[in-house]
Amino acid sequence: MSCRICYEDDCVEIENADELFVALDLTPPEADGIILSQIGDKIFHLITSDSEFLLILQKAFGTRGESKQPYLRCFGNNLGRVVTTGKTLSKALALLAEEEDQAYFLNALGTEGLRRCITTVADIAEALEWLYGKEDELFIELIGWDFIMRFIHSMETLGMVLKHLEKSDEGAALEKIGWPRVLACIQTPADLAYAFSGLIEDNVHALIGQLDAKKLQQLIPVRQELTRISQRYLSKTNGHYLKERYDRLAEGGIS
Amino acid sequence: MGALRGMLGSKYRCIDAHLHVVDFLQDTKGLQHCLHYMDKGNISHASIFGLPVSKGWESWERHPPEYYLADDSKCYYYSAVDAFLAMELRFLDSSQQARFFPMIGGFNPCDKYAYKHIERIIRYFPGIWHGVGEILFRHDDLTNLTYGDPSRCNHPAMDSIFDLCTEYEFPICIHQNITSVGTKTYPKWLHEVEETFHQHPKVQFVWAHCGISRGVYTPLYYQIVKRILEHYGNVCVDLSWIVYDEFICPRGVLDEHWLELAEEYSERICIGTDVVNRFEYLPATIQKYDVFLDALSASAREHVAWKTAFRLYSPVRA
Repeated sequence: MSCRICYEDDCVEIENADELFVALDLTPPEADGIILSQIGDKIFHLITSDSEFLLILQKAFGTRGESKQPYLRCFGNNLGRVVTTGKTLSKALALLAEEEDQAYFLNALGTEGLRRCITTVADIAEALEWLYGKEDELFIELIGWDFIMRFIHSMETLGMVLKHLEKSDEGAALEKIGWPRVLACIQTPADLAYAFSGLIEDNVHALIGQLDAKKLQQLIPVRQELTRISQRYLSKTNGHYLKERYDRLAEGGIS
Repeated sequence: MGALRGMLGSKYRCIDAHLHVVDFLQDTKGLQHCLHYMDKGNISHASIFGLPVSKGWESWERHPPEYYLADDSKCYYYSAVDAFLAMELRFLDSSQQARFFPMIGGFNPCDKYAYKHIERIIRYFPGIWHGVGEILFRHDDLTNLTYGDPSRCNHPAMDSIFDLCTEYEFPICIHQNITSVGTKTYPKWLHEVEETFHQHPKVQFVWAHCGISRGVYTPLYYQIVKRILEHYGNVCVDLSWIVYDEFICPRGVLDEHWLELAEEYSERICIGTDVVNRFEYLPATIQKYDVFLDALSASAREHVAWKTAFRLYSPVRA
């Protein structure tokens, strides 16, 4: 089924996304709203897949960070029909440079639509990569930490998510996840290294405080490793704290 | 006239003398799809090329490139394109096939064995080839992104290709920029073009885009093209891609010099879209020439829009 669009003196029938792209290319960006308003909810006749959705998203209203919300609004509550994968989710967020557009997009997809796109921790991380501040929070609120933690089994995977949050939000995120689940992600010296190198200083301090004798022995089996770890990953303060805690707990079992 | 008018196609029956039916990933939407938009554009026939290079997706690039300029991944010569082009033609009936003039072009023009590729393609897919091209020589960023030596039309490896073109009477469409993107004060590579045209007088050349591509500029350009046409009777030009938008009809205003040139040499000038697999662009891209064709005499218009390309490309030569 085609859609008829008119601009200035001409009217043409548009049969598919490629032709819509050409129409948007031939007309100035200020005409995009006029053209899309004529299409309205018939957009689903033209845009039938993720790749077609992205094709037009790139083009509509310009390519230098302009708002694309009128295009998104054509899809109403059915945006999930053309945003079905993690790759589409992250690419779309990369193309939406306006925070309000990102918020609209995330809310339009909602918890169900977003969760349907996510199949790996990389999908979460790549979405967060393009979100900042409030939109980070919105995205996480919509999908939920419980859902996120289904994909996280190591400090590397947890780090993939945490590194895209505002540093000031990291502590709150760790609290919401809960220290037992964070500690469960730290099973190897490599996990510990990820944690020490990735978390902000206050949270590294808090983490050291959570490491009991058994965990410390598991992660730092010999004392000689302490110096190397401290030098490579820790601030002076946290290095001292780790050493002090290690030595104190050593009296209770670490040799 | 509104901006959407182009989507309705040209008011003149045209031949697209410069159409790539694959993109830089060597993908194609297929010739049936192409025909659909040729009909919409009022394009009766098309000289069709593959692309001799394929854009890689290198390990250092996280996202897949879709165009040769999309990232720093290199391009490499991709000879299978000619076989694929031949296979695509088999999906058409004979009347549809007759609307296409397929060209051979999937070889490295710096390889002195390149002529063997043409011989093999003719042996395995005989009776369908109309010429050679588009051969990519000096081509701004694309040259720099392609593995191997920078290609140039006067490269010694091309001598045997030009000999083959003479033998089969193949026209050969060449892309050779007149100068580099960084040298806009004089046409630093014009001597390579002239040397080639001069040394191979029996070869029918088609100089694609009159030696211009993205970011290329030279003073006295119109005079240079005129001199080439005047001096080398074996050379035709296609007014495709950005030579039209930037020199012949900049900002929608026709340049009188180019009109005079087209009037004088209409039998050696053709038009093309240079569409690269995005066939939906055919109607609008061919239609942009209407304003130029409108301004020509009826006879010159007929040559530029149709007759020159038909004479050059329509015969099957091998």
